[in-house]
Amino acid sequence: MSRLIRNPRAQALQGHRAGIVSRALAFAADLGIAFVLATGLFAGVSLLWDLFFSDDLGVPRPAGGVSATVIFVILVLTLGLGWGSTGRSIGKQLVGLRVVRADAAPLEPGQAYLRAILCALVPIGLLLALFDRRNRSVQDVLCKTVVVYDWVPEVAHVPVPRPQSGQPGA
Amino acid sequence: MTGPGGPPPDPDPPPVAPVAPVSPVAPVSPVVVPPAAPGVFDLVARGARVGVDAAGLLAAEVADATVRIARAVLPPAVTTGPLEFVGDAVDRRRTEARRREAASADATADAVQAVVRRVVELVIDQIDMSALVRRIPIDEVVDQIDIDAIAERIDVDAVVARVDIDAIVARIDVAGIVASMDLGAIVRDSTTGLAGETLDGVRVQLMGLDLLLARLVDRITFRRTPRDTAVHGYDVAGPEIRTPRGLR
Repeated sequence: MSRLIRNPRAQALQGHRAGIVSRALAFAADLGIAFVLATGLFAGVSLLWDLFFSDDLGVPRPAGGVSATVIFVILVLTLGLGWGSTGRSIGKQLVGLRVVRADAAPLEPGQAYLRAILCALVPIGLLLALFDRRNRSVQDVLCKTVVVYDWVPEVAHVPVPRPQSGQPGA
Repeated sequence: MTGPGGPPPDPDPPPVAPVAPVSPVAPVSPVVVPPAAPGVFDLVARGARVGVDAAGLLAAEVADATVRIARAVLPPAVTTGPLEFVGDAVDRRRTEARRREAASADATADAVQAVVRRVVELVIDQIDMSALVRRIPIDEVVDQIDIDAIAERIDVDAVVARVDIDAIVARIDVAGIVASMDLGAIVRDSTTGLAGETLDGVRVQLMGLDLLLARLVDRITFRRTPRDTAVHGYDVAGPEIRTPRGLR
């Protein structure tokens, strides 16, 4: 019932450590989503504030430090939430990547958030994956994690039970 | 057009059995109509009975006229008693005679019907129906029938309007049909099929770039052994969602 991956080379590389381009793009997507969420948050809060406490509606222009902090927090939250549950953030889900422990087990929440903070603070650490023999970034080395190709999420592997007449305990 | 419910009531109903304006003093004897189907003998006998009844009514007419003439001619003192006695007798007879006349007419009509039916049955028995049918030019008859004209006269809308669609639909096991279809698989196949194919195209490109860059770096750094990208114990189709500690 699993979804078919037509490219045989890609099929063979499922479950292997991912390279730097895929991972960089996934991180860029996550960063973009954090930007969008932060903008929406600013706009929403500003609108509510102006509705109740101000005479005119204005476009918020927060200080650079505030923006960066909000984006950082949102990024860490979304990354940590995704990696700590399925191992996939939204960007990684898009590119088809998954973060797991070096022993292939799912990340613990603390491990996931630590990795998220490191990634958000020093994204340049990803460059190590270009040179490391096992495609590890600085964050991977510190958190003992690996990033693998896994295009098909678990739900696409699970066959949906077919409803049949006379099936007991339906 | 006449509405549903049959033809309108006849505004001018036909008169009931004609009653002779006569008071009979007829020879009356009780006639018992046999319940069995009447035959030719019955027909003759009942025809004669009708004639006798008519003669009786005629006699009564004469008697009635005689009474009226006597009333007009003779002095009342003499005639009142006897003539009233005779008048009462005539009235009684009149009622009896009318009933008997109607009964005789009905019985005669029954006899006529039975005889005619018997004759027709005999005639039909004598006819070779198959030979008769064989002599009918079916093709010519069919050729003369204008099917299109008949079809044009059929009010299809009225026919369709009389069809109870709801009752037909109610007899269809919609739940059973839906249950026999794997809707989940259909939705999953269609969505993952389309979106998945497009996404996989991009992913393959990225994967190719990954490998290209890695090979390039390996060549620049004079690395001899290929990269070790395998992750031991990783199951691509395995469970992904981490179970929280409280739910284990």
